Amino acid sequence: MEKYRKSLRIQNLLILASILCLVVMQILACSGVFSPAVTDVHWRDMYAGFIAGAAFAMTILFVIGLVKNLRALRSEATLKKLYAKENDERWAQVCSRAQSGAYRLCTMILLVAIIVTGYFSIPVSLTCLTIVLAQSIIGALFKLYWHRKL
Amino acid sequence: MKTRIRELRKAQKLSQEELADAVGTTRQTITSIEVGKYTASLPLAYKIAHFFGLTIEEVFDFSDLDA
Repeated sequence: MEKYRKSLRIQNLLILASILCLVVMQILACSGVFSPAVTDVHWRDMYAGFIAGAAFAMTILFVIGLVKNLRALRSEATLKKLYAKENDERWAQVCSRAQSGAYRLCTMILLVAIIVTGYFSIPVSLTCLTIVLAQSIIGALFKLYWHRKL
Repeated sequence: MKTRIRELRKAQKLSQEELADAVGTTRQTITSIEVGKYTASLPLAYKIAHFFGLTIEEVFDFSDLDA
């Protein structure tokens, strides 16, 4: 449990650093130092608003994670519960099966998209092809790694 | 896979949550094992059996594997 406690402390430091980066970025964006690379003023403002909203949402999520970790670090019972939840074997299997299913479905959709978009837009078709190739190569490398490791 | 977990748990007047806490898993996992939707891994099966002071074979029914 001490190892897990240590990993939570590291996680908290990373979360704090991320929150700090987001806040600094938002301050710089609000003061006009940063602005989206869009020439049209209307779209630039719209996009700046979207980025600000996304950054705010990310900050809230980070804060929730930080509070959850701090609560677990204060109480042994909460820490054990969080550890059991995060290392639950059934949940790990649920995630693994869901991700594998989603991966296969996305690949099939992209393969169809390569053919369909090939008739309308070559850049879109080539982009889909690049994604499928990258996905397949990375997937094969991971399979090879786990095949040797397990 | 059939198990005797529910029967053993009820005999000791334990809730699923309490058993889950004792073996370091979640209530949902205990529920799934009890109803036979999920087969526990060997370490978890050992922890559950050890908790009740029994062997794995006494808690889990492996007769389905013989067929």
